[in-house]
Amino acid sequence: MSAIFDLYGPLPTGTTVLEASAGTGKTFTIAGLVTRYVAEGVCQLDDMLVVTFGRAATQELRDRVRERLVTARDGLSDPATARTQTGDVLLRHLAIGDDTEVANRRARLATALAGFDAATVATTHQFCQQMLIGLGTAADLDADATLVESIDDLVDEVARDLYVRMWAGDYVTFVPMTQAQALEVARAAVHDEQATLVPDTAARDSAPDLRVRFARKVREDVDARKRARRILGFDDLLTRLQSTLTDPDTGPAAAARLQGRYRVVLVDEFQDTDPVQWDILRRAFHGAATLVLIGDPKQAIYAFRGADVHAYLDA
Amino acid sequence: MHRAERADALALGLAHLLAQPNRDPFAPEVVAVPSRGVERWLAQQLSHRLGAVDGDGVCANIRFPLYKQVLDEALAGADEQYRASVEAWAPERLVWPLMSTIDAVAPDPAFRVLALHLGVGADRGRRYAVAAKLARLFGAYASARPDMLTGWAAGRDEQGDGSPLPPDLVWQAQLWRHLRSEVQVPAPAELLDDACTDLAVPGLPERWSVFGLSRMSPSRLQVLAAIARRQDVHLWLHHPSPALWDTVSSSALEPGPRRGVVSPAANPFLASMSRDMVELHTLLRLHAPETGNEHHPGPSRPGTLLGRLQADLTADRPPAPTAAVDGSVTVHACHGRARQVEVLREAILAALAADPDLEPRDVVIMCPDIETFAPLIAASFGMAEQSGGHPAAVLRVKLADRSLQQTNPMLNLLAQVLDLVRSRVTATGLLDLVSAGPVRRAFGFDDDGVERIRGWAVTAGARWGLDAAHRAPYGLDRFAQGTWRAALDRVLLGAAMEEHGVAVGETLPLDDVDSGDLDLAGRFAELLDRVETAVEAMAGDHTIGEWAALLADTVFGLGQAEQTWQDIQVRSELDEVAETGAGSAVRLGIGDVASLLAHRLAGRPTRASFRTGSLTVCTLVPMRSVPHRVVCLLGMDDGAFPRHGISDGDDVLARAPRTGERDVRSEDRQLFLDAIMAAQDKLIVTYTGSDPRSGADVPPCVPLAELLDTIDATTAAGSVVTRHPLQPFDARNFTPGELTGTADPFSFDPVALAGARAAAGPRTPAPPVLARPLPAAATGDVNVDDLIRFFQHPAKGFLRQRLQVSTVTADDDPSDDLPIELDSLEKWGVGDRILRRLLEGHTIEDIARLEFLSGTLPPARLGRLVLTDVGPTAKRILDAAAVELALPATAADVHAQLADGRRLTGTVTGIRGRDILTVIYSSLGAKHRLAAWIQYLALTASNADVAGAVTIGRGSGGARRSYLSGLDAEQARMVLTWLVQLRDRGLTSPLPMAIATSEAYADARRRGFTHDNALSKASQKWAGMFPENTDPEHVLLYGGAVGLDELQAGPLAQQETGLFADETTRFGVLARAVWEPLLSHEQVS
Repeated sequence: MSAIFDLYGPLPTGTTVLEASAGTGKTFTIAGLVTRYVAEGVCQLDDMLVVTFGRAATQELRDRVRERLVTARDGLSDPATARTQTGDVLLRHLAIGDDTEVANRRARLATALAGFDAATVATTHQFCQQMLIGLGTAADLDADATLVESIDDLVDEVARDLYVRMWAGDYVTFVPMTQAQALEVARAAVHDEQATLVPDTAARDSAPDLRVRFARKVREDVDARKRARRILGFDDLLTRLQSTLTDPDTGPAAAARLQGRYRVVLVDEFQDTDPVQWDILRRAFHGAATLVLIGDPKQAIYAFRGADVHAYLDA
Repeated sequence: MHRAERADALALGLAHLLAQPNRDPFAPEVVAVPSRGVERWLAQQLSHRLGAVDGDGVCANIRFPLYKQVLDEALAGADEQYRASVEAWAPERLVWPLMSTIDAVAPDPAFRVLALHLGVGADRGRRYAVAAKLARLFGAYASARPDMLTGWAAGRDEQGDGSPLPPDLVWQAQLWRHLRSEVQVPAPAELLDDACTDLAVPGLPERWSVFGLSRMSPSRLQVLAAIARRQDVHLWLHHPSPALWDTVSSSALEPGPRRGVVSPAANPFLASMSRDMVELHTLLRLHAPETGNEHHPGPSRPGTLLGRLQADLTADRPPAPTAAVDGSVTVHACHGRARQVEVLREAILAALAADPDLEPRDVVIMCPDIETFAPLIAASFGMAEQSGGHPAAVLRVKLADRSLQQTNPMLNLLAQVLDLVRSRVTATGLLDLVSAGPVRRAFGFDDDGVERIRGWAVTAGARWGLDAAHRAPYGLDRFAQGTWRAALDRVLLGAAMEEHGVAVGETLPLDDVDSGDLDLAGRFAELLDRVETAVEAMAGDHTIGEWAALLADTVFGLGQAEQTWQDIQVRSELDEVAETGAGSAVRLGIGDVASLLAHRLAGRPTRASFRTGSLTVCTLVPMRSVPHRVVCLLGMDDGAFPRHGISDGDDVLARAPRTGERDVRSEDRQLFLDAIMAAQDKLIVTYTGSDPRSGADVPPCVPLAELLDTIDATTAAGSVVTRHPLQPFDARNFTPGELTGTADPFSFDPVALAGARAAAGPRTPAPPVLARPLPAAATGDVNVDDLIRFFQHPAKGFLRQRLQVSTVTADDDPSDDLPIELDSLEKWGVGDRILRRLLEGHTIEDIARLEFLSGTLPPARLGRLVLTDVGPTAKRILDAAAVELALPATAADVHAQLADGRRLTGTVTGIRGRDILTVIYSSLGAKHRLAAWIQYLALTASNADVAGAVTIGRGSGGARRSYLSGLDAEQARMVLTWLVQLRDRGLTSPLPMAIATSEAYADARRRGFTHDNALSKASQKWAGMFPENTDPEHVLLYGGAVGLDELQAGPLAQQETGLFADETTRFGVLARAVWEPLLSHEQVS
């Protein structure tokens, strides 16, 4: 079902997809929604989660949301003027009502601003990190793990070790790839952890078979060394949170925790969500919290992922 | 209760109080403080007041304990049982029984989630980390919610107010009860009420003070209130706003859940920043309702924007546009951290320049992340010994609050050793250890020694791993190549004997060790041995006491402190760690120990010295914000401030926080407010406002954004924000009024000014290395090898033989990876060695073995792959020389009389029969043929019995041979004379020649190519796939990797005219003059 979204109409509940093309003021819409949820007392700022893609987008969005809250708070100090002015529709919307309610709205906005650092306006990775810490012992995360920008050095180390292990031995009859190829295979296998490694039907000890076995072993060893050294790559944040949520032992409690923590979740650039990210959002929030997905249907990648989204939503 | 907006007014009030002595005038006064930072400042303030004549008094017989300590000791002193309880339940001690408890309960299904979490880790490292975290949490519960723990003790799984614990946290209450029976001592929370009801405090005078309170946990407030029933306790509160105080006093605020509480402040900025203070006030009203209170007004605020801002906060009134932008508050948006420090430096200099009364000691720099900024600050301030004459070079800067690891090299060594022991012990990792200060002192490694060891590590092929067994965790224990053991054996054997291409057992002596290195090699061996001992010992699990002893042995075995205190500090840190776990049988792995020590070595507030004459740089910690005329806030970056404080899911307090419970964000906001209130004349704030790489705008941290909002609302027009250019040498920094709107330029940096001027001035090309030719060098006899080397690289020849300048080729860097494949240069090296050894008569099997032992080949089969590629090639080259090699090698002296009367001297070796033989693994190229040509000329001109010169090298598909012959002695003398004289000219200014480029040109011309086509052939050598124009000598002489055009410039010398009428350039003439005689006497097959 689709309809034209009215920023000043009833606030979305349940799971809602907002289609907004680039340049249609997506940031404006998100900032307006956050301000309304807070001012109208639906939830507090720290009950909300706003997910974006990329650090720069997050910084900008946070800045814009704060600005919006500030202008609304300041504008509501004079409700009479706010009701009659025409430039700021949102402010006028918030100023309508009896004076006590308007004063309450202003107080809610002021409180939100006083704790604005606590607002979760985050990239998916930041959000996952916060959640993993926020789940404590329920999550598969070392309390003293270090998050590293890049694990390429580790992958190269593992690949070189395996290269020597597999192909420097005296019994080896041939070497199926050069060092450069091996490093490339290793990095590709680790970076796209979801990808299935094929062929799995190649003849034992044929070149394709050796390459696949190499790639599998790289994944395994990289994971083991990461755990031993207590380091985490960025993508691990997603997969660890996903595995925590899907685990039959920890999953239900973890999902309950997330739902208790966030009542309204806004996801910007939804078309860029990958299956892991979507799985996390779905398990944690779909059907339990207000989940507003804002995306641009015209962007090409949406075709693949958007289709998935509707399928997920139907399910 | 005493209140003031400024700490100096508070100190004045305290001085008045202390001026009235206690009953016993000899008993020390007690002034409890929240942190060490405030102690020095307060003592200084009091010394200006107490018994002062003209501001010169004395502060003596006053104790400044931490108030936490006073309160805990008061209770402990009053109640023996309570003392034992506090000791047993201290988090650092509690961690040990907690680990045993966790082990015991893990199989119980009630702890399934906990058990799963512990079970997933690859090592058992999580057990310690989890226990340490829970111990900290239990400690926090005890101070924030003693009622919750008494509830738990009584078997009620509640949160302190009677409401039930969230179901997913019930296990903590259960665990706590198990722990309670393991510890066998009641927790302090259970005893608190009883202890407080009848509290007599013998250790304290009848009147004492708590100074600078900003937040106090509910349980400590309860104790304080209990003490105050018996004694006079004066609380000194740094409270920004008397108006807000009154508002809260008359409000209905009560302690309870924090959520949903709206600040009663009218000023939005104050509302945002003062939660801690409002909550403290709320708690004080509960615990000490009848407390008298006195406000100590400070001096009135100046009429500046800053003063207006502060007055609004004090009066708690909303901002109104009444002030003008006047420089009292400046905010600087910079490109990244390094620029922030530079900009701050200039802003401080501007303040000092504008006010002659302002001294560096009146300036304080506060920075939320001092560890990151410390090196930048050290690089920008107080570099008096550096040239450049920046006025800030004489500013002395004092950095407070650094981590122990940064201030004590022995603790740094401890951390380094823990890292190294857990690592693969790579070449770079161990060499870093070798060059660490304490290690160098302990083993007597000077700069040369460190360099020698580094060189040995490279040539002996050390890559990673102590020995083969040490590689077992990586599945590579079958390979001993490239381990430190293998490398050390080579070094030690090399010290004992020469190489001579002979291995002893499986070890090849290292060539590069002479008898003078014996001692150094021994000390290095000792170091490695100690590292190995440490690695072996630390592989196991030990009790914390054993660990402390082991770490002490290791660190004192490897390093020697420069100053005694450094040793003492290491010992006391380790002793303290051991003491917390005394008696515990829990065994830890090295990962746990590293994590335990990392907490202890992190930064913590130190006893900072204010007003020592230096500019102070410190972190933002409570009550640091003592008044300064200029307050600078550095690094107010988005994400860096306030601290993150992502709440831990296991923290009961964070689920539903209550009044007075610690929140780092709210603490940081309070600190931000304090810092602003502490500024008397100027507030200078810097932040990263632009991404240093992309230039994109970056918003400031939220509290700063709020401050900017408030300033906007306080001013009618203008902005306090200055956006700075990316570079310090940007002209805008030096244009009056351009950046800050003042009449003076912003920057004081003379070097950057020179840069800005140069950037604005006309661009002039760099002058040539040589403006005119040098005078001719003395002519005399010439050595044949000098002549050969000169023509093999005329540019290098000019630099070396005339200017005696040589370009440096970078040393080999140590590598941390075993070789898997060789690059072409490495392959050539292997081939070259194989060929030389074949020529010396070694068998291919012996040679292969030596290559493996030298560590240059990849391990095992991968190395043999290289040999199967390189070996046969070498063999083919050797076979091509079989006829000549069958003859014995002889040598002949050169004594050729040249046409101009000079002599060519030297020796030519490698003569087989009547031919000079050169065999090389390289491709048969210009360099070796030219050498052979000059040797042939020299011997022919010396009337030696020589028929020709044979050069054999690699060619496509096998070997290639060049044979030079056909000249008589007279012709040889003519050619040599010409070459020697050309060299004379080439020693006055560089010749436009390059060996392969010139050969290609001459060869093409000889084969009938036009000038242009021949040039394009030459170009492929000059700037092609293996270019000559990037040789360091060419880059040095021509000012870069220039095109072939530049090599062609320049007039012909007199001797060169008329040789080739169809050549228009000297490059062409010289190429042909040198190469045509050779080419026309060469047969290649």
